[in-house]
This record gives sequence, C-alpha cells and structure tokens, in this order.
Amino acid sequence: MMASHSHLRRGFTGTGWFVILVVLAGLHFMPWVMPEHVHIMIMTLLFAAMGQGWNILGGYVGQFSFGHSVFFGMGAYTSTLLYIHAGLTPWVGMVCACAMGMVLGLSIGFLSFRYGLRGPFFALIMLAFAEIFHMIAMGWPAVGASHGLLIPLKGNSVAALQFTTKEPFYFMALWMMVGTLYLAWRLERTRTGLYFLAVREDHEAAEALGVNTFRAQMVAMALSAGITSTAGTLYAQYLLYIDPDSTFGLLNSVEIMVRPIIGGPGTVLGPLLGSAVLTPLAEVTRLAFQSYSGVYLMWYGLILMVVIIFLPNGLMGLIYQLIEKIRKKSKRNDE
Amino acid sequence: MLTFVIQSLVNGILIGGVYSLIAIGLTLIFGVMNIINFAHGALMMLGVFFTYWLFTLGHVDPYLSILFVVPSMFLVGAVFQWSLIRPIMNAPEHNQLFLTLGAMLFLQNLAVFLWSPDYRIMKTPYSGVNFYVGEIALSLAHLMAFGMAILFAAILYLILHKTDLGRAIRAASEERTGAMLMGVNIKRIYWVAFGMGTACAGVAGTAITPFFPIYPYVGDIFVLTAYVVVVLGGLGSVFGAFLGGIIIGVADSVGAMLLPGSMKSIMSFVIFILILLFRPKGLFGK
Amino acid sequence: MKKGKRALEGKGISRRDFMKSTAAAGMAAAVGSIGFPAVLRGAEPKEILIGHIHPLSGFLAFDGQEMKKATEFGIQQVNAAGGIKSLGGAKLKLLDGDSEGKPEKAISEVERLERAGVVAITGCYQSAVTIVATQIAEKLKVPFVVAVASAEEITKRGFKYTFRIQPASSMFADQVCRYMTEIAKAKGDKIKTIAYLHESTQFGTALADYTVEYAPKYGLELILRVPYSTKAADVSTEVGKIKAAGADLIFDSGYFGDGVRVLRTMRDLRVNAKAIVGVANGAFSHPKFIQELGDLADRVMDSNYQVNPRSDYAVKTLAEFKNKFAADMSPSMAYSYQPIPVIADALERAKSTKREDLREALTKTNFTRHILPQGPIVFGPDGQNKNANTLLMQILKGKIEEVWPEEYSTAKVVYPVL
Repeated sequence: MMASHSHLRRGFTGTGWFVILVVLAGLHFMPWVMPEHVHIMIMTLLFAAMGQGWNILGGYVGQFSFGHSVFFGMGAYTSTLLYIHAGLTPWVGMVCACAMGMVLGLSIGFLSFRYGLRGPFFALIMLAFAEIFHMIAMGWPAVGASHGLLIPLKGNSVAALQFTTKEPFYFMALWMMVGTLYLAWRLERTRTGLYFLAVREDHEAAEALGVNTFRAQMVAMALSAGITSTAGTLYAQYLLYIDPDSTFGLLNSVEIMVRPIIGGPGTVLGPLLGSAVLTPLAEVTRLAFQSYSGVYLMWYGLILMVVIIFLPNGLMGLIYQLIEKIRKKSKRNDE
Repeated sequence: MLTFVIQSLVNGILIGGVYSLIAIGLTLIFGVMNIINFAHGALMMLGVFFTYWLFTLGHVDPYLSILFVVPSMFLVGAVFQWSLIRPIMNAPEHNQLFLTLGAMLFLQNLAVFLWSPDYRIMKTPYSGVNFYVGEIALSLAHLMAFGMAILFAAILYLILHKTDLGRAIRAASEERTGAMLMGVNIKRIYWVAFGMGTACAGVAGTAITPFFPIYPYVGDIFVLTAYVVVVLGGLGSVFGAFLGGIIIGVADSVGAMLLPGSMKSIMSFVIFILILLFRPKGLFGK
Repeated sequence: MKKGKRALEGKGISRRDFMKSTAAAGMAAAVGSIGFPAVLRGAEPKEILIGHIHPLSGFLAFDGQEMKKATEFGIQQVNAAGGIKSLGGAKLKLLDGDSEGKPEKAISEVERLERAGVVAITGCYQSAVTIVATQIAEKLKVPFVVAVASAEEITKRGFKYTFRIQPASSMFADQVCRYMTEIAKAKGDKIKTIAYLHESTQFGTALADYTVEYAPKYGLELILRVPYSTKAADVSTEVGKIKAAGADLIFDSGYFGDGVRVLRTMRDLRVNAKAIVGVANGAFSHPKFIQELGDLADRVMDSNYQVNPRSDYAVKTLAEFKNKFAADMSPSMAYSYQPIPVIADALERAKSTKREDLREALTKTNFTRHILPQGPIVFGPDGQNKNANTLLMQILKGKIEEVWPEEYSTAKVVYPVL
C-alpha cells in the first residue's frame, strides 16, 4: 500500500523538527485562541489517540477490529472502580487501566491469532467480545449495571485527577495524542514495524520468510489495546460519569475505527487528520441540524463510502499523491 | 415452572424464524460474493419502515404489503450492489467491510434524520391475538413471522435448486471462474443475488412490524444475531442459516431464562466466538 | 451580542450565522463565565431563562415531549399572572435540553444551558440522567429543581444546588407496602408475598431495593425480582418468570412504553394475582394508558405521585392545561409543571436573577399554591421536599380513580382484583 512512499518516511531534517516544535507549541495556546471549542478539541485529540491505537493493529498489521470499544470500556471501568472502591488515585489507575487493557487484548489476541482469524472473522470476533463486555457491564450490579458509575465530585484535585476547568484535560489529551504519533512514527522505523507490514501485505509469505507473525500480531494488539484503555481513563475523569453504552457501545468502536480509515490507514498522521476532519464535522452537523444527535453519522457513512471507493489510502494517501505530483513537477522544472 | 420453560422455548423457536430469514439473505450474499454485508440490518430496517408507511398512510395490511416490499427491496439491493459494491469487488477484503459499514451508518442515520429515533408502534388487527394450547400462549403475529420464514426459505431453496438462475448462482458461488467459462453472466448473478438477499431482509422487516417497535436502530439488534446465525449455520448454506436461526432463537431464550434481561444474548455470542475459533465452517459451510 | 444569543436559541442556523454566533458566544461565554448572564448586569431583566432537560427524542420521546409541554405550561401560567413582579414583571422563557434518554448527553446539555444563561434547570424524568445532570449543575453552581426522578441519592450527596419536589424512592416503597397491607386488612385478606418486575436502571432497581428493605415492616416479603430493559421489545420471558412465582401481589416499575408492553404481555400470558400494582409507574396512572389498552387496563393499580383530586386549585389547573394542550395532565406531567411555580416564587422572594440568590431563596421555600396532595412544599437541608406524598390509584371503569388513602380518594378500592 504505502511502500512506494517509503522515501517520505526518512527522518526529519533540522527544519522539519523545528516546524514540528513550532506547531506543537502553537497547539498549546489553542484553548485560549478558541475557548468555546475546548471540548471539541479534547474529543478530537482523545479519539485521534485511540484511532492511532486502532491503527497500529488495523492500518499497520491489517487486522481490523470492529470492537475496540472493549478496551476503551475496560480502561474507563478499571480506573473508575479502583478509585471508587479503593481510593486509588486515577494516575495509578490509568496505569492499571493500560495494563488491564493489554491483558484483555493479549487474551483475545491469543485466541484469535492462534486460530488464524483474519479479515472479517477477526473483525466479527472483536465485535462479539465488545458486545459481551457491554452486556456484562449492563447487567452486573457490582460494576454499576446500567446505572453506570458516577465519580464523586472533588473539585480541583490533582491527586484525584479532577479539574473544574477543561484546560488540564486538553493538555493531557494533547500529549497523549503526541505520544501515540511518536510511537507510530518510531514503530515505522523499527524491525517490528516492518514485521507488521509484512503480516499485512502477505501473511503466508511472511511466515515462509521466518517472520513470527503470531508474535508481531500480539505486540501490535498489546500496544493497540493499551493506548485505547489509557484513553478510557482520561475520558472517565473528564466526564466524571461512565456507563456501559457510552464506553462499550458499538458507536465508540465505529468512532475509533473511522478516523484512521478515513485519515489514512497505516500512516502516522492518518488518525489525527481523520479526527481533525470528523470531530468538528460532527459538532457542526449537530448544531446545524439541531435535530437528533445521530445525524452526523450520516456524514461519517457517506465520507467513508466515498473514501473507500475513490481514496482507499485515505486522506493521507491523497496528500501523498499531491506531494508526489508537486515533487515530480518541480523535478521537471529543474530539468 | 414447566409452563414457563415451554413458553420460553416456543417463543425462542418462533423468533428464531425471523433470525433465519435475515440470515438466509446474508448467507446468500456471502456465498456468492464473499462479502459480509454490514448494511444488512439497515436494509432490513428499510423494509420495516416501508411496511410501516404503507400501513400508516395507505392502510395496507402488513402481510399484503409483502407484495410491494419484495420487489422494491430486491431493486434496492440490486442498485446497492451495482453502485457501491461493484467498484470495490476486486479491492482488498477489508475495504468491502468498511464500505458496507459506511452504508450502514448512512442508511441508519438517514432514517433517524427523516423519521426521528422515536419508537413507533404499528397497531394491526393481528397484534395481541393469541392462541392458547393449554397454558401456553402462541402469538398470532409471531406464528405468521415464523410461517413467512419457512415460506421464503422454501421459495429460495426451490429457486436455487430447481431453476436455471439458481443453478447459475450456485455455480458462481462454488467456482466463479468455472462458471464464467460456462457462460454464466457473473455480473448479473451478483446483483441478482444481492437483490434476493436484500429482499429476504426486507421481508423479515415486514414480519416483525406487528409485534416489534419501529425505529431506525431496529436493524442493529437483528443483524448482530444474524451474523452469529450465519457463521453457525455455515457461510453460504441456506439450510444452515435456517437451522442456525432456530438454534440461536432458542439459545437466546435459554439465556433469558437463566440470566438477567440485559445479558440474555451472551449465550449466542459465546457460541459465536467458539464457532469462529474452533469450527469456522459452521454446521454446513463450504 | 444579543443577536448572537438569539441565533443560538433559534432553530437551524446557516454556516455564516454559525461563525458569527460562535464569536458572539465566545465573548458571551467569557463574560458569562463569572456566573450570571452578562445581559442582566445591573438593569432589570426583561426575560428570565429557565432550562429543562428531558428525553425529547429516542426511546422515551413520548414521555419527554409530555414533560416539555407541562413545563411550558408552567411558564405560560406564571407569565399570564404577570411574570416576576419583584423584578419589574420580567417574563420567564424556557430553553429546551434533550437528554435523548442518555445520561452522558445530559452533561453537555447542562453545560450548554449554563452558558446560555439560565437561572435554574429542571428535569430530567430518568433517575440515571438526573443524577448526572445534578452533579454537573452542582459543579457549575446552577440551581437544579428536580421535576421527576425518584432515586434516593439525588438528594443524598450533600449538594447545595439540588432540590426535589417529588417523593424519593424510599417513600414510594414504604408507602405502597403500607397501603396494600391496610387495604388487605380492611378487606379481611391476608397477603404475604410480592413479585417485583422492574426496569433495570437506577429508577426501578432502587424502588425494588427499598421494597426489599421495607416489606418486612408490614409482614410482607419480596420473593422474586425480575429486572428488564426498557428498550427490550419483548418481555415475555421476564413476565413468565413473574407468573411462575405465583405471588400474592405483583409490583411493576417502569416508564410509559414498557409499562404498556408489560401489561399487555401479562394479559397475553394470563398472569393473575390479588393485585397488579405499579410503583411509581410511568404508565399505570397515565390517561393514555387506558386509551392504549382499553379493558385490559381495568383494575390495575399504581402507587404513585399524583395531583390532589380534592384541591380546587388543582382541578382548575388541570382543566386549564386540558384547554390549552388538548390532553390530560398525567401525574408525571404535574410534577414536571410544579417546579416552575416554585422557581417563580423563589425568584419573587430573591428579587434577583443571580443564581446564588435564587438558591438561597429556594432553601427558604414554603409554598402552598400547588396542586399536590400534601401540605406546603418545604425543602429540607438535603433539598428534598419534606412533605411529599404518594397516592394509590386504580383504573376502574375506564377512569383513573384515587382509592387510598381514603382522605384523598375519589372511589372505593376493588380488591382482590380477580
């Protein structure tokens, strides 16, 4: 898929890094540039991070999970339950959430990859697991059942990871997203990253060449699940309320998936681009139609269909194509 | 207590018929084109709403409206395949998954936009009519749904095994290249099969209107179960889909008996996972 | 700035307006973030904004839209009587909030209403949603007068900004057990066992929990509880379990749509008991319930909040509502209406639209001009209406009658119902 653009993946030059740092610094000022949109920005960043998590397993390894909400929910519930019942600070809770997510991911991965599930079958089994957890969360009183869990109000408390303003959450989401970008960027340049691509491009050939495909998929799954679960904790602390539908629900799996697919599967910036396009689109649709909140999903569906048919490499693919065109043109001009 | 168990099993079998009907459509599409159609539930939902509007605005009896629903849903399916699926027939498999997912999102939320997410009830003369065998209540509407499932499964079976078209479809699903070499118009088979599968989903939609609320997300519940049924029965096997539907209907009932309400489908999903892992071919798959 | 605000309150907006209004909203939000609407600085207000959050769409849309009408009626009634006189006759205006039946939607709705400058919020019909909404309101320091929501913990969290008019879950459970025992005794009958069918969120579960707790006090025992999902289209297995239990009394708690489904299923499966009693049931004492089920609804009871049938003012208000909206006011609607006159009364006494002043005034409420079967509305230190009462209703000959306690009754109770 993206192999032909490998020359675009070389390290950054000095100028490149400078630009990145300037952009990053600029992003820190956004809450004061657009204060009424801080919520949208937080959601954009959070889902971009989770999208990147999905991307590691989906875009890079080619295993498309239709049930990533299971990790999101697992993370949110783990840290919340630990806080409510054991008073454990959500900072540590976040680490636990990440760990639980990884354990869950590895367990599901072990079953799925061991039995060679791929493509639609893997997608469906993830969906099945997500639904099972959804139903358990709905019916089990110990985790709040359908009432969900309310995190007790503590005002401004760093120890309890609660703030009365949105800005701290913005920064946390920003850094989480940057962290995932960096992770993906680094992965692309390691051997593991190459193994991922090998598995995606041709599973059997990779095996024949001695790549441990099982191990590669498990590593990807662990990273993918861990990232998504960690984001779950952040979400819970931000809203101070979680319930089975808003965490394990099918809609979340879709939201997480759709960003990297439209943005560009198997690319570093894809999920961010996808989120930057889709999250505001959803908000604007919500306001403009002022009818029912599901309507923005119509756009998601439409854009998804258009992208799949005309831009199978997503928006990043389109951008790369344009860059290629410009490069070729400038080369021709040089000659 | 025994009454309760028997009543639950009876309900399970009857609703299983509806699952069968949806699954048959899904398995036909998969068998011929190797596509898992995520939009199948949304298409069923279109059938539901089509029936509802015919009933509410045109006072057409729901069972009579099948005469409209079948051809129009067939058309919808054919157009769907021709315009959306055909361009990506040769694309990697996952693209097909995402495309049908996109179609589902679009259709479902178009329905929300047009008709609101509110629940509507269709008050037909059949709603609330029950026959009693001893202490066991048999709802007329459920019996009709089951009857329709059997009828359409039988019709589909006859078409597949007794007509030239059916033979062509089966040939195309078993051996695409060979079929083409024998002169089968593969392109036509695709949209025909998709049309037929969609028509089945549409009929299933009609079948549930007398006893189920009508709302845009109605397809979700049924289509998740339909995947389980299709995999259980074996992808591509119409008979497997029919039998699988009944089995899953009963499994759901047993689940409801043993577990609190919101968890009843756990049983069928666990079955689903076990089959995917240990016997992906299902009962009668190819 | 005003133009921007109007654009936000309106219906659909064009992209250009959105851009304009966003800038305006940004400014308004910055200024308004201190805690009260910038427009009200110093001068007498012409319009006082009150927000409400209800499930206006989704699976509880029927109930939600009714609550909206009732709330709107309250606003109209107050305005027709001259608005808030101590604030120069300022009129009340209602801002809608749609929870869609989901708690997490309430979060953004409360924040949106707060930004728009409401002095108070009411709602939300669902306990789960209300619990979340009141928490955010508490965080943002906006007075929240709960209309309909029964969960105990709504007023048990030490919040300063939460007030509730309707009775709490524990009262419902306690009173229904007491009423049924009294009725059985009066009819010379002995009852022991209860089977409880309830919807599975906070609302139904809490009621069942309290029933378990209070039943023994009256010599009763809850032998089976069966939760069901409001969204489930088919409840035959759950009803089947209730039938199999063979208890003396069947209790049922749920919302309107599922209440209809439950009773219909009970009739289909021929479920019998000495009485089928709703507890805070959204359907069993709703006028539309009888329209939906006709004869099937006969003799069904509901122990619920209710309008005072013996109060002239209540009867007059109900007639006024029927005139304006061409529909009967159900008890749920009555309790959605009631917060508005209470808030208006508090505004009168506060003589200010600052939220803290309104909160202060609400704590001192002693309101008698209401339509409820109780003494004056007085809020305890936890924000709960101390004198709240429930009544036992029964559907007899196609009408909802109040049958117990006898001081509020309009007809004689029929028991056992078989």
